[in-house]
Amino acid sequence: MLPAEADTDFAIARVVAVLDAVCQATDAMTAAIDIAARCNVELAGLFIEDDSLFRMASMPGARHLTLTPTARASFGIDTLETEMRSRANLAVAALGAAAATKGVHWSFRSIRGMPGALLRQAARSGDLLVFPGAAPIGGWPLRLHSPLLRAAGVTASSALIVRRPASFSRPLVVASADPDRVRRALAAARRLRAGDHDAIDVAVPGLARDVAARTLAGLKDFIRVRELRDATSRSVIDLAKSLGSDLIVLTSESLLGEEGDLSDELLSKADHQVLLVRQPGR
Amino acid sequence: MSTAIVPRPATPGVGPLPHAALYRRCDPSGLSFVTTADLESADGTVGQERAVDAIGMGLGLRRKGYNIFAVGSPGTGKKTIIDRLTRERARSEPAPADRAYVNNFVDPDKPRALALPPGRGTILRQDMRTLVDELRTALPAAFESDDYRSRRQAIDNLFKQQQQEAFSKVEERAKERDIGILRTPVGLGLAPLRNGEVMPKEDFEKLSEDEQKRIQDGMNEVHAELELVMQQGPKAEGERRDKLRELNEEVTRFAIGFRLEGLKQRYADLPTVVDYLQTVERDLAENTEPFLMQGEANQEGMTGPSARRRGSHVGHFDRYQVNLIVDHADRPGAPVVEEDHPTLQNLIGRVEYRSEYGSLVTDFTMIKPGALHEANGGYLVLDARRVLLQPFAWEELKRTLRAGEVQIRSVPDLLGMASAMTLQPEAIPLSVKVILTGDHHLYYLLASLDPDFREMFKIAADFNDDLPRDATTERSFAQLLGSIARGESLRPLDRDAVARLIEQGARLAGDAEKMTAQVEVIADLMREADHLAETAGREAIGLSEINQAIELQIRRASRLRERLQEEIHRGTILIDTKGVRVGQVNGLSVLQLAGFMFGRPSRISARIRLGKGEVVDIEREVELGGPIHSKGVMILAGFLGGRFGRERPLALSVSLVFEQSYGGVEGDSASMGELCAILSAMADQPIRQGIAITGSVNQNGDAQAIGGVNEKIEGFFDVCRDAGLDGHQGVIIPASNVKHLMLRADVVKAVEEGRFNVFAVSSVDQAMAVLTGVEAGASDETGHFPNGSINRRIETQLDAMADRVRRFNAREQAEAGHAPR
Repeated sequence: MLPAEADTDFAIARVVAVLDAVCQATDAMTAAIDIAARCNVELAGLFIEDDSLFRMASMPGARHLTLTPTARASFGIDTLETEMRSRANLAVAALGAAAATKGVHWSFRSIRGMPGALLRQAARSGDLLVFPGAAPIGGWPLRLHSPLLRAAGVTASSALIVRRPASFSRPLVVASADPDRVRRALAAARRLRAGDHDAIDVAVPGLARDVAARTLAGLKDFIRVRELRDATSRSVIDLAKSLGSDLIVLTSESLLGEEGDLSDELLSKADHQVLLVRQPGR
Repeated sequence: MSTAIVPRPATPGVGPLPHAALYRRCDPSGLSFVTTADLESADGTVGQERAVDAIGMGLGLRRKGYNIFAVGSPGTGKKTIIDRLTRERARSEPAPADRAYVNNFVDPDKPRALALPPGRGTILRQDMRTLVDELRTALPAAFESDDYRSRRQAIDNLFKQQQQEAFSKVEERAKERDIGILRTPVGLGLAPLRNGEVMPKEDFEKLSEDEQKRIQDGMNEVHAELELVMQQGPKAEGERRDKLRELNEEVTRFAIGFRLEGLKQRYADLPTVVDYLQTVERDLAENTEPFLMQGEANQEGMTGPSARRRGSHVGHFDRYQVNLIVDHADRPGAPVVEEDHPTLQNLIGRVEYRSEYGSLVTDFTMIKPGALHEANGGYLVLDARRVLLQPFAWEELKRTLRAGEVQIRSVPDLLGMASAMTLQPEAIPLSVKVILTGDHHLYYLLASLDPDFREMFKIAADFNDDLPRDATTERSFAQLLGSIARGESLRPLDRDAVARLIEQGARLAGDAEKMTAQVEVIADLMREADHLAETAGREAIGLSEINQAIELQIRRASRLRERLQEEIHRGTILIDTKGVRVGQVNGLSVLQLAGFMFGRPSRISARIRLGKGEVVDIEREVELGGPIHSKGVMILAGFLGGRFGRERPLALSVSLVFEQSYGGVEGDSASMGELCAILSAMADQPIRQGIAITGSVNQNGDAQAIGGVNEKIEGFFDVCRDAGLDGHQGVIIPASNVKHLMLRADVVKAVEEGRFNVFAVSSVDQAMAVLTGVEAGASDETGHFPNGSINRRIETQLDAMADRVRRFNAREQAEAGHAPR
């Protein structure tokens, strides 16, 4: 079956792998390199040194709780600087080695500041930002709100959050009832699926299945319409789990931020991989 | 010394033996068959009744220590008889238990041993395979059920929820205090917030002291709470795992319960198996994951590294295997095992290893049985020499028999050396009858040097080296030859061939009245004769094939003998076969090389001089004479003293030597010859060099039997034949050796034609008469020998020597008395 959408519906000119000193970046880096190689575009590594951490480290009386046996008990500016340098070095080495094996042109930059501002700036230089998922705390399933991922929710570029070795075989598109947005989301999903043209699950929050199907009738040969009772992250995650989806594709900015729920739950705390598809020129 | 040739004497009192006395024929007409194909098979016990009785008793006595040592020369049929008797007995006995090793789930390094009735080991092994196969389907199905998933999800969610709630509460309280929790590269940090972002240091310092203190206190409180939550994490995780384990066990027990219950009922009569099945059930309940890892694990067959766990190197599904080391499923009776390579490990079993990432690892499936395992409940036949040659095998065999159980141990274990990784399989109770085979030498060595030996091997089955030769045994022997021919698919033997082999059996026994029990030597002849018969296109082995086979055997082995004969013929080795010599006689010795015996003539010479009656054995002086030879020479001194030293001192010394002998001389079979040489020297009476002599002698001058008489006669005959037989040549042997004569046909023929002679003597006097043609002479009532006799001449000689000594001593004393002071 031929896709309903064209490649140009979701063109990628430059992939940015967003890294920091906290998240587990290996899977995200690998996914970013694979996508860059498949689209034959440049890959930029962006290592963000979160200024909040430096503020905290310099704060008199700031408290720190170490989670690893090798960590030093005191946590000051010097320690943080050392850690940042060390992790940035590891990141650039890993990125360089992985990119070389795929023959991807790459660059790397380490920049300090508040993540939100830095990512808004980065969004101007790349049309797909790839983020690592937040690392579990202390090895057990607790998740803390990640400034990096929170910022990902408000960037102008499309963003992909990778939480495990990249697999995008069964995406679930959560979209508003706008066929153009759905078509773009389908194009993005197929980009990641690397040529798999099977029908893709699509859900329109708040719309009954038959209504959604009628709305997206032009795409009926290329999608499987699913029912999603509301736009809460819980509903999306439950539906994704029930369908066995490994990627949640979100299309509508209206789903993000305004509810305050999706951005937190899906980006920071969900186990699924998430792709936020922005409309061009946003 | 005279060298004149004397005519053949009319030997006083001793004439040459008739040719009929030199070889006892077996009359084929006395054998009532055409070929051995007409004969029934023999049981191979002919002439070995004592050994057979001993084995029978040993096999029947099922008491500790009543193991059997079958002692006898090689080729006497020990193995054949033992094999037949043990198999006959084993057939009437029940098959023993199957033996298996299974995993010890509590301590995998100590595998458990199971005993099952014969045949049920295979069934248990198959039952366990079936169980695992079924569980590989049933367990994933159980764990993929909606019910299980939802219950597991509920546990996970409850745990996550509890943890997240606790953490969220801390986050909430932190937020209320305007404190942010941040993830740092190595942990969690707390910092005051302003407008949702971390407050810059400068702003914080602008705050009032009270405000700063309030924030600091808040951070301390949040820190304490956070620490508490983090500390509870591992405990909560442990609880979650416990709950999951309980759930998994519950589901597993449900899935496996009825299957294992069925197995337990099936083996209800075997408590150890039921106990094992219970441990399997417990282990399955605790270790379900591998059954659920279908894709990857199935591809590896669940034996790869990923399937190895809990310090055990056995693959997960392999851990439920039954390693059936002894299977008696199809055995009609007790086992009879012959281990022809009795190394330590071939006896007691071994634990094998496989290489895994550069390390050697093992598990209970790699336990291999030894001969003791396989023979347990039956009989184990071993060659004693081979056992003794293998390091540790003998000691471990004894230890095992003493302990009454087989414990697999490696050489490093026995040496007390630590090994990196090994198993200690449970010992298996042992009830086995061990039958060792070996020769007499080995048996007596063990009996005298190993204090455990007699305790462990109480039954000695002593095999005869030879059989009495009479009509009954000759017939049994013929039956035995027929059995060998049938057993080895050889052509049958005709009567003449059998008769010839009986004669050859007597020759090999070295006794005309016996036959060798070393049947293997005869069997070799049959095999070679069969080959000749095949070449000649004969349907049966006949006399000519047997004769040819014997000749070929001798020819193959006789290179050295021919070389010696050649050197004698060429005059390199000095042996006179004509003429006479004083103080010189041809003695005869036997050489045995690689089982081939042949006679070798040796010149013995004696010289006398004034002295004090001693006999100097030059061989002994240069340490070439063995103790028996030396004893023989000392006996000569006793004889001389007893016969000639009563009336006068023996004022002479005698030196005695084996000429051209450069090796050791042992045995006393030359002592009669040596005495003759001495007497010849003392009497100055020449000895006929055409007569050789063999035999030992006692202090009274009586001739005594010696060994190898046939070979010795033939050895001298060959020398004489090469030099030319003149009718005067011959060999003197002790009369007690006549019954041993089984001479070669050419020797017998020469005797029959008067070209060669064999004299049998009872005393050295008779021997001297034959050698010199002069009567030795018997002493009269006055103690004097008749004039002209050898003994008279010796007396005269001794008197003269004594007189010379007396005069010499008187002159010396006179000279000493007039010597200036």
